[in-house]
Amino acid sequence: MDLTFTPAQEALRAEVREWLAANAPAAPLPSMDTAEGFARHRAWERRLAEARLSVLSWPAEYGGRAAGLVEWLIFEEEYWAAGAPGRVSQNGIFLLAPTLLHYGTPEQKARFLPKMATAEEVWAQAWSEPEAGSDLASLRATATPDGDGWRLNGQKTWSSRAVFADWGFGLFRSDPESQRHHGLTYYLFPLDAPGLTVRPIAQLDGETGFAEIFFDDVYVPAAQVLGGVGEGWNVAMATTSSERGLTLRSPGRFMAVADRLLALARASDDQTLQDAAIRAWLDADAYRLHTWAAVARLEEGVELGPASSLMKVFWSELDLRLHELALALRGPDAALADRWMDGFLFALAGPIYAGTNEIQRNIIAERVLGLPR
Amino acid sequence: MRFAFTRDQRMLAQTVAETLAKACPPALVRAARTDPSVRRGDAWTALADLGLLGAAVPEHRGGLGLTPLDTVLAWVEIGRACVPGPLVETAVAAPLLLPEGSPWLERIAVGEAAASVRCAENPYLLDADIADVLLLPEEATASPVEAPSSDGTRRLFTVAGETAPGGAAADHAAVAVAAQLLGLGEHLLESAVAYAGQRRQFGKAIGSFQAIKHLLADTAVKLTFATPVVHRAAYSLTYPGGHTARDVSAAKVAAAEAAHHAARTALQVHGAIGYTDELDLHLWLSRVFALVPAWGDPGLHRARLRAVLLDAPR
Repeated sequence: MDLTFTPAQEALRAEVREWLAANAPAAPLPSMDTAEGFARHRAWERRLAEARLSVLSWPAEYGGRAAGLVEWLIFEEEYWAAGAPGRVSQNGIFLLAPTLLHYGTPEQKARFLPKMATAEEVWAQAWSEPEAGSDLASLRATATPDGDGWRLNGQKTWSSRAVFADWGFGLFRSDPESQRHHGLTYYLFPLDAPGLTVRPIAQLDGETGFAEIFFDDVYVPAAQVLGGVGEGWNVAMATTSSERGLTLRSPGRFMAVADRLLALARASDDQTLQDAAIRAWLDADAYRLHTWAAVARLEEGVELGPASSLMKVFWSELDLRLHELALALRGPDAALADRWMDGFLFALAGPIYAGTNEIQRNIIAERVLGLPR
Repeated sequence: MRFAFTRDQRMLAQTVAETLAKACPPALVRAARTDPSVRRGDAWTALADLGLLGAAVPEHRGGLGLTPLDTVLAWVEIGRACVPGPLVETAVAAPLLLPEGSPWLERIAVGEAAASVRCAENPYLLDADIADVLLLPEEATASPVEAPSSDGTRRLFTVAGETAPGGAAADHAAVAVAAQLLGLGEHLLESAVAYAGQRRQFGKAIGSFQAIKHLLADTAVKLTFATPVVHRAAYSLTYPGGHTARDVSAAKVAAAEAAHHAARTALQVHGAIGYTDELDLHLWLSRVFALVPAWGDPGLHRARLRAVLLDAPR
């Protein structure tokens, strides 16, 4: 066991810290769930990409530095500690890109990854349907062969920032005779395609981060099928496994919040809240330690697998607790619309998105502990 | 950065687990409640034969000279098997408290001597009735008086007089106890999962009900995220770097919470049968409830964490 960093890793940390100190916006950007905020976040992604910091772990040919997971975790720690903007391209770079790198053809990688790295093209996910949420395998949107391509029909919903984004990815039933996880195919489609309509859905915070997408005979060429026809479920699960696991929510994000929470606790004389804040800080630290251990296992060739559900439950409930405690420590000021309240409202969604925590607990019970279905 | 154990460290734990599977069956733990000799019986001898009682004793004094990082996984296995006896006191605390030239060190290394320790963090002498040496802050003349112990496999004694801080010995002991709590918690979770898979009600295994699944999943989450905290504390003891107090207290707090959660869940999943003397489950429950306040109760560690995390900005 060695919990120290190499000189090269320390140098990367220093580079990232210095670059962020010089370049990160001094004041928070407007919410990325608004048109103006989305544009500002897209511009920020471009600056990150120019410094080759937007997709550190990708191969150099697509805009990355071929960095290892430890280097990526160091970047994340510095990124969130600096209070840098949220990643508007996160659905592309954290959900789609790992799948694209694994299943994509060389042509698909060359076509899509470089523009994703610079946020010239921002991606939205299109998993859920009105009648297929936690039970995703019951999805009903269809894909019908048409010449060399496919025609998409149906409705997707809860597509984050699809109103502002450029491309979408999702699962469609390509075999009308199929049931459940079978006969699904993974498609990539431009959000301005003829026959495609995006409608905003206002969220509880008043912003239109959500959208629903309607497909009316939307044509998609065969080159925009990701992975094999009928293999969509397995291809998509590779994505959600990385989503639930290491890449969507790095420990750096929660450590930064936990450090700010401790600063509030120091200024308080309420020992009950102080103890609770310390306990939450320790859990953020535990998440960091667990991630390092997971990286060591991945480097030994052990897959994360269903254990990533343990991580999703832990970080989403930790994030909520960090913000709840911060609001408690803020006293009457907790009524103000500020950074803590924004963070709290976002944290409230954590136990719902990327597979609800109830679904995650089922996965833990059945696939980690081996309980009967 | 490599947060993983070496092959040797994992092998030692595996050897301890295999040895204890034979030398420390639940019947031995049960017998420790009534027969004092069991607390230094087969399990004690088996661990001594592996050299584990002398793990922290320097090699030139007959020990193995191992670090907390080398042995922390083995302590998880000792917890999993619910081994009785003053093991932490003898194998972890005593080698740090005894003077370098003490002849007790050789005797501890070969498993001949058992120690009982009293300090501020651990005011009760464990198993003083079967100990050869009592380690107290100053020479105590009064003989130990037995106090009622909640865990029948652990006998507790008090002596008059002040206590002094145990220093490094208390930190090392706290991490060994935290590791045992992880092992106890894992055993309790495994027992509950096994029972939920067998026990049928409403025509189905109760483990197929979500109410049961989610209880067990919560315990799995708690244990999963307490584990690296305990491992890191062993690293901090092995390579002290300024965060030892924080890391040790974090480990004890996290392991105690996770093990307590496992105990509550295991009992709930077993239902009334879990509440009986007949089932072995309660031996593990009692050990968890006894180790949570041992070597630094949660309040002591919370106070220490307040001191290191709140008093000075990091």
